[in-house]
Amino acid sequence: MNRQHLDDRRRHERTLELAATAVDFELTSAETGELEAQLAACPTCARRAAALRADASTLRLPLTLLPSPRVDDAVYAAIARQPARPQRLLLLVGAALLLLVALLGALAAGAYLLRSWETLPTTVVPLPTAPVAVVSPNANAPGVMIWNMSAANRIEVSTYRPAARNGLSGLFGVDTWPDPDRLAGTVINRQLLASPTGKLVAIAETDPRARTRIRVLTSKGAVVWSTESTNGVPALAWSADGSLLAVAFTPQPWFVVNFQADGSPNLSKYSPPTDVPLKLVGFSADGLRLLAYDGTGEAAPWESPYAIDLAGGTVARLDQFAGGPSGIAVSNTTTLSGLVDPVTGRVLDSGDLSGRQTNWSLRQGSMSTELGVPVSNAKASIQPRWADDGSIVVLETSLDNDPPSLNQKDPTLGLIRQPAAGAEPGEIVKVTWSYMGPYGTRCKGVLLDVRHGWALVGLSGIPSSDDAWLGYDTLSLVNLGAQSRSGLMNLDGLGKRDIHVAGLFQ
Amino acid sequence: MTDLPESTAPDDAQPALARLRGGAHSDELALTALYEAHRAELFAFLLRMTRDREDAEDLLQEAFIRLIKEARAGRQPDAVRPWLYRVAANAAISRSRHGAVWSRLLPRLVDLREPVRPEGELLRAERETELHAALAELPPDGRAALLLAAQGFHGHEIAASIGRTEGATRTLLCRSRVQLRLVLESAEGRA
Repeated sequence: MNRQHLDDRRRHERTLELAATAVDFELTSAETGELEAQLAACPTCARRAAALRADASTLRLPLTLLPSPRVDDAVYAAIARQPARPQRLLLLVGAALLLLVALLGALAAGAYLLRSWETLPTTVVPLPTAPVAVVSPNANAPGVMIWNMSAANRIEVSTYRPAARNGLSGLFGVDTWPDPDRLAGTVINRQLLASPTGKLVAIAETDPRARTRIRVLTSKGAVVWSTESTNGVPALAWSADGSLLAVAFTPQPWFVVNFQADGSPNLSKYSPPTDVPLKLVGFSADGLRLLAYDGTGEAAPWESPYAIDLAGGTVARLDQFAGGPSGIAVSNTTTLSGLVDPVTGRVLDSGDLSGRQTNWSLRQGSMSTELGVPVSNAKASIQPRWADDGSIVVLETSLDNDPPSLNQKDPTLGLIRQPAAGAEPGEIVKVTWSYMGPYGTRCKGVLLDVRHGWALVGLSGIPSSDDAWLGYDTLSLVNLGAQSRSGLMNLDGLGKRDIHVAGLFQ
Repeated sequence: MTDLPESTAPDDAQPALARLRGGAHSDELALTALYEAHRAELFAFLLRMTRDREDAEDLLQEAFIRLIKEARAGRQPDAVRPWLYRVAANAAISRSRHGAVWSRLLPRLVDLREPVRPEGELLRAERETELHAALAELPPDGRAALLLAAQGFHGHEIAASIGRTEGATRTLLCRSRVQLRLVLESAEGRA
């Protein structure tokens, strides 16, 4: 391209920029003169400037759409009543009432299940009759690392170990960047991620200008590694043995920090291709690779898996995610690793509700297996997550719209076993529902993690789509292992509010 | 026979709004009025931001419930409309950063199934659809800035909403308008 063409192109680009700026701001007199001269001299620039103004006008046109009645109901309900934080004494009374209601509810829900699903090829296990209040600590239960803001610039990290004598233990406090304007929602993005052993915790903070600080601390609060960057919010993942931490900025750089036996870190840096920005899924089970997918959105994740070999630093495009040692590690991540089956590598693509069934696709490369999952009513919200044994854990929260009611149906937990080899697709082999007990008000439930036969559920009395914003009021750790009973431990007696979860550890 | 105390539990047979208006306090009436005054406009903004009706409804609900919480704590903002937009814009941008699970089909904002429409209106509707599809290709900060400008907010208000300096916001708006125009021109070239 010769010099004249380059100059013309720059002039057109400059004119477009000035015309765009003029839509929202006043130009200086020099800029105005420059723009007017170019518009008079160039019909193409004049046409584009007019198109820019037309774009702005079109955006200003009002959309006459209203939200659905469920939003009105929720807001009016919030206006009509004062949300109350129960005092500790009332919690004891509440727990006794919960126990009674949950027992009645378990029997009622069991009868409902049998009545509604008798035509489906499903084996339904009757609801457990075990109480859903605090159960005896189980030595095999994982610990839960939690955190909350104790001050505007301070984080408190604690652990809950069901087997421990005192249950909740405070670990340490650590400083954090304060939120620039919490009232307006301009906040620091904070991620805390515990290693699977609980010995280390990674803390990542990102401010609205994409400045990021990452620190790794011991369980006593000593900093063993830290770094700062301006690359925005990273994805984090621990290897299954807790010795490796992956830090992945999109598109680059990616780090793997190896915390050796003495805790000293050894850093490796990787540069994934920038033309295909990769999204981290997590470590492979054998710890030798990082698994990822094409983050451009041009292909579905199950169609575009990648693996980075940590030893050689090579990037390979895979046909599909694998299971087993090369498959996804069952570990703590801030990514979507829970939607990849660690046993087979299939990706769970949750679909639409159709009547009282939600239709899923289990996808692997170009293959797809359809699965229909019964739900309690047509308004259910259902969250799935793969367990490490290849079964699927689901948390269902549904709105009782018939007759209209302000109450949300209580969150219920279900377990779906994989169809046996050779079984018809879509056949549910076995479903177990564990009734969580009434929460009392509209609540948001999130299936946070599933590990070694336990499911961790976070419940919040005021819905939030961003758990970094409000956090949870209640955590429940549910034993999925037994078919005939499930243990439920409510962690809401922790005396803490707005709890966030850093991960499960063993 | 003594009168039983009025139940404070929700009555399944009576819609919340009717119950609210039947025995409302002045703050409840004021909050209701704020909701009804701003919900349609804010919903339209969130729908254009997220391109997903369910997400937009969730974010709308959160913004107003947050306002109710702040008002009850004695911290109601002086200027409610810009506050609502700031909260909604930040929540929508934050949700985009955290990432949707997988991509979904983008809903049509304008229903073109209506049988008889004047040609001008049909063309306008198609143009709106193209424009909003192009908006989806912008990063969330840029999209929010354009939509806030379309709602009549000035540069300093937009800057406060998205957490940038006024200078950075001016640059962002300019680049976003140019990018939107280039996306549209590219689509026209492919059509």
